[in-house]
Amino acid sequence: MRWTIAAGQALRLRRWDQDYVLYNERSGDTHQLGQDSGALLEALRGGPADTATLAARLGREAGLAVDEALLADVHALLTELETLSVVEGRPC
Amino acid sequence: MLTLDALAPGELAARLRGEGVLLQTGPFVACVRSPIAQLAEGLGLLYGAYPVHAPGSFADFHIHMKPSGGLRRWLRPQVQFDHDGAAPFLPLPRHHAFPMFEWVFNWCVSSRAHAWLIIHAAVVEKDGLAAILPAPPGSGKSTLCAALVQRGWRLLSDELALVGLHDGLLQPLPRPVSLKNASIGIIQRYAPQAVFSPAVDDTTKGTVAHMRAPAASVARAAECARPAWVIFPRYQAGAAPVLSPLARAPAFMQLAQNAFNYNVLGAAGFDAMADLVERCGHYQFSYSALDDAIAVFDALPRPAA
Repeated sequence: MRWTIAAGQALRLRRWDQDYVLYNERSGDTHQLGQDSGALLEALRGGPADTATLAARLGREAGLAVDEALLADVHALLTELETLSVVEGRPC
Repeated sequence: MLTLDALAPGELAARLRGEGVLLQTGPFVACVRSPIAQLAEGLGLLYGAYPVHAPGSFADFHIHMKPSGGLRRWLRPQVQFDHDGAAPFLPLPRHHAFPMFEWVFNWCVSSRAHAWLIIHAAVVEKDGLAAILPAPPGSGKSTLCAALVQRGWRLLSDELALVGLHDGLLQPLPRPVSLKNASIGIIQRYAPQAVFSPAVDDTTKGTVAHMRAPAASVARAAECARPAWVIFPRYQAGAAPVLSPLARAPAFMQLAQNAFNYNVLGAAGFDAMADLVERCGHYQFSYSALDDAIAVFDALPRPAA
């Protein structure tokens, strides 16, 4: 699955310490996000990427090895962000 | 400019009954019309230092408080807010006319003034730095605000924090401070020199009275303030004063929940709120004794320049 910032989202994102707030351009909602979700969105600023690439980026920042557990966590976060229409996933 | 207390005797009531009094508070001019004596008395007592514009001048809001018609003109008489021929609110007993005027004014600003991000909060300022006190009703916000402005803090507002969308500065809107129930007596004892409207019983908020805004605050209504602190107050009987730091992200979300027009402003509201959050220190504050609270506020850490 290849992930990208959803069309229509300007990624209006602010970070303070380990917390983020995000303005959802599509719904008009504002979300408070944890460190991992925020970091995923910042990683996607650089362009579309698949789950493994995103997991590798997060793993490097956190000092974690990319294993099945990390891949599953990243996929779960991305799926949650997709339900908010913040990211979109397309089959590779 | 002419102030309301400079109007000749009888002129205030005559203008209210006729073409209206064009009363300036902060950046807004309201054309106020009403034949109801309680409203004229309240305005005369609490708005004497406010500028009055010439008849026929532009008004941002038109507030017509009129007696209800029909039997209600005599039988348990009522007052109604007429908004360009419509009545957005239910009528109230006529002796509620002055508090109703205050609530109507709040509604006009909070539902119309979208050149600002409007947060349901008190705002006070000292030595060039302002504290925003967002809080739902019953948290002790207005009581604390009333005490602070009687102890050297400037009143910007007891109800509406107006945050400039482009510069992030706080626009003053100093108006009478609304107090309820036991808070009325508390502040009357705390500040015996303060001027109060007569208490009005049996409102939906209980007994309500308004404290006149300090003249020095009214005189500085054009002087915007730099926000430095966001403090969520909570009165707790018997509690020692405790000021606890709050992280920026949860502060942002609480502020957004306390904002009247955050959703109306969309992305501009998000940006203004985020900028505000970044430039302020954020705290939760519980207190019981007013002098303790004043001491904490006077010692707030100044942000880096």
